[in-house]
Amino acid sequence: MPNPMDKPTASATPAGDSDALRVATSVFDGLVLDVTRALFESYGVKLDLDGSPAETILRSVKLISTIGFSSEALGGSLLLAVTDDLLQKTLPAPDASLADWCGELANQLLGRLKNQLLKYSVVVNLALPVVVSGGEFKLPGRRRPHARHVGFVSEAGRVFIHTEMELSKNAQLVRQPEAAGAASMDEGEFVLF
Amino acid sequence: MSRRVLVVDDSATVRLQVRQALGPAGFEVIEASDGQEGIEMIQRDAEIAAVICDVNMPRKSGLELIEAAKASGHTAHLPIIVMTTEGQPALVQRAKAAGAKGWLVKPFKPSVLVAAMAKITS
Repeated sequence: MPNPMDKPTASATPAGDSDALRVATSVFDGLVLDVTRALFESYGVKLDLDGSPAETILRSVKLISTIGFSSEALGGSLLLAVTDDLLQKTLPAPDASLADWCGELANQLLGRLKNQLLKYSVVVNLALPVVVSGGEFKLPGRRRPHARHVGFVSEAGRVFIHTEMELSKNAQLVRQPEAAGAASMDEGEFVLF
Repeated sequence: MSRRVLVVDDSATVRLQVRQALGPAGFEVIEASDGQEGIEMIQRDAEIAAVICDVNMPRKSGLELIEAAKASGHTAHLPIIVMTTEGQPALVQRAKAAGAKGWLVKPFKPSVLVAAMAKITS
């Protein structure tokens, strides 16, 4: 899949227009794909797209976490479902709780997404993750205009992401070259003041 | 000098990671699960030598913890490292202005954390 970060992003299309929404959702979906892959790669897991139906993937998970986000330009929510075997594989401490780790992964995923959105001059505020355990999960009903889900598969297990996003009136998702210069700190980076 | 480090994070996994990183390096790690608990612990434990805190937490955020620590004569000297998934420049600058000593973006390398804590507690 082409990296949306490489696309020309100049767009004067007013938000609310279908073109603006199409650009925004395309960028947003691309960023979600990129940050999901990058997050799991940082824990040594290579993810490939999984074309299985959502219901099939969700049947194999016991933990899901969800976080909301909001900003002037856009708002929405992200749901992360990870199979226990993959959670175990990425667990940074052997004695840690899988449920807690599932929430922290969602937190780190949205943190990465936030850092990427800064390049579009969008500053989102993150809510706290909520983790639910159980079985036979079903997709939540759509509450926002743009809802998308994607599945991933790896040698260690499966990942399922469901996002809902709403673009504010008159908002755009356009990459700002000057904003990229004042880049946010990268994952793992440390600065001492 | 005390080697007691308070880690404030709502994720038990992250607190465990910090404990496992700093413990073998000779630090004594104690934990708080949100900003409010962190504030209460630094106010009552004079042996705490440094604090590592997340930003987005229940009750009180990491930034509120920094502001509370710096506002009190008993705790104003405490070096505080922010450890979070966020790297937003404005947020980093806000923490610096509030008196934070450093900023680390998760996920972290244990060696980086150990070196940072060794430096600020020496």
